Amino acid sequence: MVVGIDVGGTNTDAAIVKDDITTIKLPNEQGIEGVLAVISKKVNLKDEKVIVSTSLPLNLVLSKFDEISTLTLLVPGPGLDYSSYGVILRGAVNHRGDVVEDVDVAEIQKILSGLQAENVAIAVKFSVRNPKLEHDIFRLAESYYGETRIALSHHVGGMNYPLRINTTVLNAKIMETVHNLTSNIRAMAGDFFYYKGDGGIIPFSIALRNPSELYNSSSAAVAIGAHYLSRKKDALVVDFGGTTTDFVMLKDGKPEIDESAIIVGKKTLVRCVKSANIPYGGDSPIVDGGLIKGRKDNSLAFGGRYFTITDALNCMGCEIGDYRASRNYPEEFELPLQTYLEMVAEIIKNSRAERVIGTGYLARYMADVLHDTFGIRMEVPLYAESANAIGVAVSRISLTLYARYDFENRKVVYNGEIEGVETLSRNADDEEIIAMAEEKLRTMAMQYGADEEDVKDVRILYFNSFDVVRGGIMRGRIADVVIQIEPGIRSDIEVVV
Amino acid sequence: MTTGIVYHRRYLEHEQTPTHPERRERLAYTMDQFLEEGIFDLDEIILLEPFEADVEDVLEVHTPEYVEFLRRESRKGGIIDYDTNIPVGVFENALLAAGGAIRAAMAVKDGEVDNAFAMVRPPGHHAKPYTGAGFCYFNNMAIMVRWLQKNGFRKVLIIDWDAHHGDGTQEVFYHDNTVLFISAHQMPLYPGTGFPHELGEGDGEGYTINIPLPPGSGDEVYLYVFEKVIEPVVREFKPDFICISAGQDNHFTDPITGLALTARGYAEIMKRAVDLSEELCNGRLVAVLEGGYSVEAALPYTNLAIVTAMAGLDTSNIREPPKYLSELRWRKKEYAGQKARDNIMELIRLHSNYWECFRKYLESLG
Repeated sequence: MVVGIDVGGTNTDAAIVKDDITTIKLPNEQGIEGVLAVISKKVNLKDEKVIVSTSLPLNLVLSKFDEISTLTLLVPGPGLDYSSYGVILRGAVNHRGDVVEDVDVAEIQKILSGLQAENVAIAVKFSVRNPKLEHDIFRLAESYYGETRIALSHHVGGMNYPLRINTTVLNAKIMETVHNLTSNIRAMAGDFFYYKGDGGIIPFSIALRNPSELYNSSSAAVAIGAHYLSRKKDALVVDFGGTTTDFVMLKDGKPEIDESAIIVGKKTLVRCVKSANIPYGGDSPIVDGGLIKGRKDNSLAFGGRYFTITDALNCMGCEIGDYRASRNYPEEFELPLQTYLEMVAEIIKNSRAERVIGTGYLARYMADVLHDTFGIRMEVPLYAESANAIGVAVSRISLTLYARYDFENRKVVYNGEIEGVETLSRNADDEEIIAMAEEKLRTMAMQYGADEEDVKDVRILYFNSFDVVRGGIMRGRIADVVIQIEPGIRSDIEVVV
Repeated sequence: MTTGIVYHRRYLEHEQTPTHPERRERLAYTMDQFLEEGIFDLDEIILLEPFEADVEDVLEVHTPEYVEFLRRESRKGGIIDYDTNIPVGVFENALLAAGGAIRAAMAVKDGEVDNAFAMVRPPGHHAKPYTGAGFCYFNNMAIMVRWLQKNGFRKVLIIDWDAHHGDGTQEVFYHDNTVLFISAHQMPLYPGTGFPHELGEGDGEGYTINIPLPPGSGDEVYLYVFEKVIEPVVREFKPDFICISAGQDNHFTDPITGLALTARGYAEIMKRAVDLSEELCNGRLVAVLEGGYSVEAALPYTNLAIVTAMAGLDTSNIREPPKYLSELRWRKKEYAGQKARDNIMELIRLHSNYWECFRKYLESLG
């Protein structure tokens, strides 16, 4: 049994997938703890695999990004000028991962004792080749800030120092929130998994090191859920939420991915689904003949205080919730509803998708309206209102491994951490190196509970190797490998919708 | 300012033998540095994809017999000289290098970028019309210059600051007064040419300027060369386009030469070249990579120096890590400055027959 939970903008959805699918929808006011409490009446959560998708705490933090003060400590060493990114410290790691200049402890202590901030981001250039200096600075910062308010850039993984700095700053700002959320969930569900923005799942411990991986996870969940429920591989998925309407393209059964997402105006190393959205959803109020962004309260049809897009649909003849309540308060709704529908129709038409799949609670009503008004055909699969939670529940473990093999120095760096490799042969060829990386990735995934079948699908994202020669003598090979167990649907899912 | 960087993964593929100094490791660390610096995300930098040069453009410089020889030998492997093997497939890789230089020139010509750096391998400046030599197969620089001339830029300046004399390029333009070829190089060193009295012939007399520098010459010497020779004569020549054979084997850690330029020095001389291009030819400048064999301690920093100087980025933090500086202390020779000044005086005397600026300079000395 797997329990998938998605905390969206308005509701929290849960799907319990065993031999059949059970779905639960609760308003966000009850929080994830409330949802867990409801589910734990049906199953013993600590015995089951629980996967949580939650963009919400991140979005709350992001909405006040500039108000959260972050001390950004940088060790760029030689190269470009990074003084606009943070405080520059002495020290340097070179491209080989050698520490070529040590940090100055007194300098760091002075800064830590002098500057006040809510959290710390530490980024050393080339730390993904050797994290030593980041660990050194961490040990000094820990006594001031504590573990849960310090983000280290080598946990982010990829090369690209300015983008890694931006991602580390983001991590520093959301880290404590994610730590607290994780503790709350663990108290009720034990060890669990988080759902990532690219549609894969990771153990909570990995998310704590690099929490920005959770960014945009709801959109990823919807896309994977829509694929699973519809069995369609290529389509535009339109998710009609309460607060926003989101669009994700599915290609060959996988959501389209943005390799370096721009978050709060800054380019990052966050890899997540590419999604578009319009800031209106089923709960967006219609006031004085105009649309208001986002959500203020429930629709009239659900006991709320505002006449909304959902109520307008009821006035058009739909029967959603207490539809009579909607019809008792006839606002000027035709024009604003038309405006909203035109926005949706335009994105659908511009996408040139051969197929459109609708998800979310309003999808089946919208399908009729879009067809009647614009001639757009939108499929709405069974369980479409909980596609997000189902997407979470059916996804498999997905991991990315950034591996650096330095056979001259007998050093291997896996995801920014150096591992002992006394046994490393200096004569390994490219095929053997790739096999070593694949084996490492599979072992990691299986340790995290991945199914043996699911770790077979390994994709090489990057490979480069060359020989180190000194004084005309071959000293060993250097190789960089980035491989991934791609996000996808678990092989042991037996429920066929 | 936008700077194009011409690069292709295939530039890493060429290798004469696994332990040859001109090997893929040369660019691997530079690409590491560029990727980690996020160079390609900067608004000032545009990555340009090269193409293989048309054989027709190569034939503007090289003889049909040599081109055919290289094509044939490249299928099975062969040899040109002691330093220069013909590994299988080098013909296509050499075409991609020459095409990379043309791609850089094209991007500047078309206004796609303000200037461009062709980070190509294999290098080219020792390749002569009828043979390859000294790790070089096709003369990328000469092929690009001829392409530029076919595309409307009549007067072209070449500054070759590779530690080795650019004998191949010199030979191509030795009789040509439309190309001013200036080479600053270590002497004595391979290929053994590049004396001040080699100054061109026929129409080209006075259009080849050789500046031999003694081992141990550092940043100050190179700035002196710019001040006393390059800047005055280039202002008098008034080029339509400036091209740099940007060898990086004059760095103080280079294992096969004895010069003592630093990464900051590279940034400085490239800035001087960029300033000249802005003053004289609307900023049109292309740099083409030549040699440079200190793969770990120099190239990541010197290539970055070149790119930052070309793109007008802040160069204040361009330097080598401190652990290499002890190397500079024994490599740099104070007395090299005097010898360099003597050599420069000799070439100024020789070239005062052709250039007003040098005549006036001598007059000013009385």
